[in-house]
Amino acid sequence: MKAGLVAAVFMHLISEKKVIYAVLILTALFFALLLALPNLTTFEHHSGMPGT
Amino acid sequence: MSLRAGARVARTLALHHSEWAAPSPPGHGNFLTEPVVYREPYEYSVPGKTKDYSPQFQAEAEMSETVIPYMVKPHPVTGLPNGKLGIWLFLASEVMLFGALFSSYVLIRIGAPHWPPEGGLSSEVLNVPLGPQHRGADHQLHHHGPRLGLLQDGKPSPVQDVDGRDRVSGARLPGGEVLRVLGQVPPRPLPQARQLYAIYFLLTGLHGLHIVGGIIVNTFLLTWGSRMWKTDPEHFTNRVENAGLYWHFVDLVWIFLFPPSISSEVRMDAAGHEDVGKHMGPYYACSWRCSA
Repeated sequence: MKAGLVAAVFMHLISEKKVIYAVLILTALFFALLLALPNLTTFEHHSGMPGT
Repeated sequence: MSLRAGARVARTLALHHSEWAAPSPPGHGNFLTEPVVYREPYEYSVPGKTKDYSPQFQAEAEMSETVIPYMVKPHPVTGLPNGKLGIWLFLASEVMLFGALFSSYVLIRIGAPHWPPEGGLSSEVLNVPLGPQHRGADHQLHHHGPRLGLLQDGKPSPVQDVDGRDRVSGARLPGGEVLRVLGQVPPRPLPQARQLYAIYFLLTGLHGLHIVGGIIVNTFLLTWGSRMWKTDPEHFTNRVENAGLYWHFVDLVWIFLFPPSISSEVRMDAAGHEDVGKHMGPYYACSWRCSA
């Protein structure tokens, strides 16, 4: 909530150019991938996949 | 004009001649403002010039390689001054930098043997005031432990039991309350002790460096840098906006960094002993690779 207000109001994201939204959406996708990949390897590790 | 969709191409992409500076359709007097012409038209492939063409309306200083274009006026393609687009791209790269460290932190926290605690995240878990208290106890344990006869690896010395009592006389020794957690004492919370500590201190240290950098930039804009307000106020305003974007990003980082790294939970088991296995935060969570 606070993070959203800071981003929307203080960083003016509530009314910005489309190119900035595009940059941020791309960043969010890569960030989600960054978080997901190591954790997927964790689940694979605990599930006893070969090679772990 | 695009052959497919009919969209207009930005006018300033090929402004070789002054007439192209006129809007389309042209208004009264053709030009929005009085055009300034610096050279003859058709200056293509001029010897000694770095560019193939020299637009009529650009001053020689603006043609210099040292001048970054569109630092004040919006770029016709992006609609933003280059400085603002640059700071956003920088912030996007910062998200990935902190994201990589945060991802590692999350990975190790997930692998901790006692994380997440029962019930998941709750206000009880994010019990921030208990964090400093617990760190104080941890400090006492490590600082005074050797003086009290404790071994560095956290095990009780031969003269004390786990409750901090003298094994012979049974008398309570100083710091006995702290010593109750003895058999489960973690290693010293230094970066070299565990991967989790390393990432924790790297995250908070990197955040601290960003704060220092922001303070330097803001101080510059408030003092020497503010002279630009008299000579080029629009450019100065853009600088302040860019510095503000960076400063608020640092704030955002702390919003996400603070809860998982500082918060701590202290639970007591049925016997009234501190259940250190249920602690969250960097002092007790441990990777499954960590056998401590």
